[in-house]
Amino acid sequence: MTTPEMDTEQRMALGKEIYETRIRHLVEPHEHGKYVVLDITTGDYVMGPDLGYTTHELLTRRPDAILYTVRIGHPAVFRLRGPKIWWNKQ
Amino acid sequence: MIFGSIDDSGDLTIPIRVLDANGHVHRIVAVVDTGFNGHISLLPHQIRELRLWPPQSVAMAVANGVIISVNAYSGVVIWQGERRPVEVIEAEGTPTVGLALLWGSLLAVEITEHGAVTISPLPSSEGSAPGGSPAPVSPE
Repeated sequence: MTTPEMDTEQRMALGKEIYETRIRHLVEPHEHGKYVVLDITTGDYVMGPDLGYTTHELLTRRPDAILYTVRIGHPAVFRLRGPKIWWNKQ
Repeated sequence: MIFGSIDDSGDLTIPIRVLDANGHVHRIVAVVDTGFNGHISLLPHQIRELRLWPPQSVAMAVANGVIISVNAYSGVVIWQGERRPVEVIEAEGTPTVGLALLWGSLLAVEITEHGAVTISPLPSSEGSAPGGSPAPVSPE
């Protein structure tokens, strides 16, 4: 299966594997709080303090990137406490 | 100044204006959700109508502590008269506005039937969450 055919869960799993094995030891803990946006097809990534800018920077370099994002030192990028939105598990 | 109201469900609703891929403005009614630390969430069909692309896989922590996978997209909203780059979460339910977009604003609510909701910029505000990004998610 190629990366464009992957669903969200599959892309998350591959992205997490790439981050854990190739990137995490380079950025934690000294870059705590920054974002890592990576292309799961090539493993290329950009790190920065702003999610939108960091995403734009990677897409400028790799317009066809399949994106996965981590916030260094945090369990998730976003948090939802209320019941107003939900999701379909794929 | 942004004007909204409390709806029949007791939710704080406000109109937001979101730009599509061609720069056209789409007016969407969204619920103010201070439990959401992102900018906005939209429904899948709204994401398609806006032609937002590409999806970005991100983790989101939900109320029971579970980490789920969601798609996020880069978008632009007209907020307090200015274009504001935002992250758009794709989710079912109700379109929402979260803390990252509200950051730097004064939110006033008349908590009564169909009460008025007003959002105005704080004078000393820099206008966005630190770094222009969602407020941090603390490790559980």
